[in-house]
Amino acid sequence: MFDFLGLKKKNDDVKILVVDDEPNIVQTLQDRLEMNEYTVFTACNGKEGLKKAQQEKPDVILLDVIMPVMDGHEMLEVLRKQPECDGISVIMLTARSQTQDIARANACGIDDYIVKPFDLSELLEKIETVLENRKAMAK
Amino acid sequence: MIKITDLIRNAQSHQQSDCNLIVDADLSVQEALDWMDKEGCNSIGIDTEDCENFIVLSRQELLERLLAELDNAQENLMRIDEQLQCSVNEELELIGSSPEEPAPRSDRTLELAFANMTEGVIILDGAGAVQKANPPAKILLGLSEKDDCRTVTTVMDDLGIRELILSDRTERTCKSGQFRIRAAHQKVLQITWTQMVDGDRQLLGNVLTLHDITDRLAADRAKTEFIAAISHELRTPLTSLQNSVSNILAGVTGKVSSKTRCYLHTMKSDCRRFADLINDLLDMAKLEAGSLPINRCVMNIVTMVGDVINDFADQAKKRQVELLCEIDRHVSPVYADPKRIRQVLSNLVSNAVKFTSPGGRVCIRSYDAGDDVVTVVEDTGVGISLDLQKQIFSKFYQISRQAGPGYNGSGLGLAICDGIVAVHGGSIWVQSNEGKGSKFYFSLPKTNPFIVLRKHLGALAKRSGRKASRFGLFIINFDVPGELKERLKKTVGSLVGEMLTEINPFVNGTEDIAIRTEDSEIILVASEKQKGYIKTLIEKIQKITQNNLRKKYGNAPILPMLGVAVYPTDSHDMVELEKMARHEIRQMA
Repeated sequence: MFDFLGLKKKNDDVKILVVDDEPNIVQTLQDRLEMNEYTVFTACNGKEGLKKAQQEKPDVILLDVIMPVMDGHEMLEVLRKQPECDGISVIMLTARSQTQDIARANACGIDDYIVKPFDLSELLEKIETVLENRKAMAK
Repeated sequence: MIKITDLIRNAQSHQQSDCNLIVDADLSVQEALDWMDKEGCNSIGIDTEDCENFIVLSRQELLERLLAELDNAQENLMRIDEQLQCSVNEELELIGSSPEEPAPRSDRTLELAFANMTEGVIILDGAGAVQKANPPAKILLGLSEKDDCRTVTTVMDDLGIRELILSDRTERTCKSGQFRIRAAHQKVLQITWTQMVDGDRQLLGNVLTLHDITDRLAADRAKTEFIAAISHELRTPLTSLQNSVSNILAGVTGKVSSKTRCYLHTMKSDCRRFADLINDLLDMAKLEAGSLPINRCVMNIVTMVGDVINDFADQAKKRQVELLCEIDRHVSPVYADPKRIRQVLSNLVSNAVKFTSPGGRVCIRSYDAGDDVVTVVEDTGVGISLDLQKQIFSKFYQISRQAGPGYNGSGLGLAICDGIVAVHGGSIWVQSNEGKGSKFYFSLPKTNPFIVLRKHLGALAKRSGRKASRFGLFIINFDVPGELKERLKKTVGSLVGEMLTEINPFVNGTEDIAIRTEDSEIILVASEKQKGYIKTLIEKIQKITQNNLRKKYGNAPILPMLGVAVYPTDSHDMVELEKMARHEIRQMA
C-alpha cells in the first residue's frame, strides 16, 4: 500500500507492551501491531510484565487477566503504585465479560477494556482513542 | 333427651288409671315433670300403645328410674372407652412407643408424622405466635430439639421471618408466599408460608415449611463457575484463531488471493458464530443459576426498535425482506436492562428475517396493554405448526432442523429470550399459522423505579429495625448545568449506564439494590456488612465516578455528585432519608 500522507509513520515512536500467557495470542497481536508501525514488547505473565514496563516505559499496556505467576489484576495494582510507571495507559483484555472483573480493574485505573474474543480492528481503534486522549491530556 | 318411654320398660301396667294426669309416652321426662308441677299432682298415668292398659308412676319412681337409666348409660360409655383405650394401646405398642397422654388415634398419627418428617414445619397461631415447631424446624433455625416455642419465636423474630410474612400479607391479599433468608451457620433457608383458614373464613394462623437450600445454591454456583471456566478455555483459542484470520486478511502475511480471501471470510464469520454460541451457553447457564446480571433502568422500547432495525437492515436487504416498524410514540417506558431487552428483540428479529422468504415482510410493533408494554415481531415467513409452538421456547429446540439446511443457530436463542423476559417479570408467547407467518410477542411491565425503591426501603427498615443494622442510601447524580445539559445528554446517559455496571458488584444479597431512577441518576442502597463498610464504599464510589468522568470528559466541568444518608443515624424515615441525600447533592452543586 502506498502511504501518500505519511500516516504510517505516526505510530513510530509509540511503544506497546503486550502481557498475555497465550503465545498464539501474543504472536498475532504483535504481528498486527507491528504492521501498524507500533514498537511492540511482550511478556508472558504479570511479573515479567512489570519488569518490561519499568525498563521500556511503554505508552500502552495490553493486559490479560488470567495468567500464571502474577495475574493482570495484581500486576495492575503494583504498577499503579510505582512512580516511575506513572501515566502508562492500560487496556484490559478480559476473557470474562463479568462486571466484577472490570470493576476491580477500574478501581485501580484502566483506560479501557475489551472482551475476548475480540475483533483486532476494534482493539486497534481502542488503542488509537487511548493515544488521542493521552495527547489531549499532555496539552 | 330422655323420654318417658325409655323409663317404662319392666313397669307394671294397670287396667285403669287412677290419676288425673295422663300423658303420652313420647313426652320428655323434663316436660312430664314440669306438667306435674303445673297440675299439682304426684303421679302420672302413661298412655301406652295398648289402649286398655296404663302405667302409673309417681314422681319418686320416675326420678329413680331416670337415675338408673343415667347410671346404665354411664356404664356403657366407660365400657366403650376401655375398649377404645385397649385398641389404641395395642396399636401404639405396634408403632413402638407408649402414650403419655391418650389421644385419639388420628391425632396421634398426625403428631408422629409432624415430628418425624424431614421438612421443618412451624405452625403460627392467629396472633402470629409459634404454636408448634417440629424438631427439623428447630435444628434448621440453629436451635436444639428441646427448645420450646417461645425460643423459636425469639429466633424467628431475630431473623425477621414473622415480619416478612406480615409485610407480604398486608401489601397484597396474598394467602401464601415464599422467601429466602440466611439463618445460623451460613444456611440459606427457603420458607414457604400458607394461611390456614377455617370453613367460616376465620384465620387460624399460618403454616410454614422450611427447606435448607444451601447445597442447592452451592451446586448452582459450581455449575455456573464450571461453565464460566469452560467458556474461558474455549474463548482463548478462539481469540488467537480469529486474530490470525484477521491478520492474514489485513495483509500481515502479504498479498492474499481472492480465492483464499473467500475462505478466510468464511472462517471469520464462523469464528463469530462460535463466539455467539459460547455467549449463548454462558447466558443460559447464568439464567438457570439466577446469576445473570440485570442492570435495570428506565428505558423506552421505541428508540431500541429503531436501533435493532438499523442493525438488521443489511441482512434484510440481502434476503429481500422488507423490515419495518409501526410504533406508537406514546408507548410507556419500562424498567428493564436495555442490553438484555435488545438481545431479546435482536433474537426475534433475526429469526423472523431468517425464516421469511424473499418478498416477505417483517414488522415490529410496540404498544401499551394494561400494566404492560407489549412488543410484537410479525413475519410472513414459514410459520410454526401448533405442536411445535409448544416446544419452541425450550432449551436446544431448533426449528431449523425442521426447516431444512441453511437455517442454523445454537437452539438456545428463544430459551434465553424466555429467561430474560421472565427475569423482568414479563412473558413471551407465539401465534402462528403454518405457511402464513408467525407473531412473537413479549410483554414487560411498566414500572416506576421509585415505587420499586420505596418498597425495598420500607421492607429493609422493617427488618433492620429489629437487628439495628445500618444501611446507606447513596444518590449519584450527574445532572449538568443548564446549557451543557442538552449537549451532553447522550453521553451522560451512557456514562450512567457504565457506572451502574461497575456499581453492581457492590450490590450483594437481597438487602442491597442499585437502580437507575432517571437518565442521569443512580440510587444505591447498601447495608453495612462490617463496621466501616459504608465509609469505604463512599470512597470507592467516589473513585469510580471520578475515573469514569476522567475517561469520558477529561477535565470537563462536570462534578460527580454524590449524596449519602445513613439509616438509622441520619433518620428513621425513608422519605426523610432520601431528602437528606438530595440535600447533600444540592449543597455540592
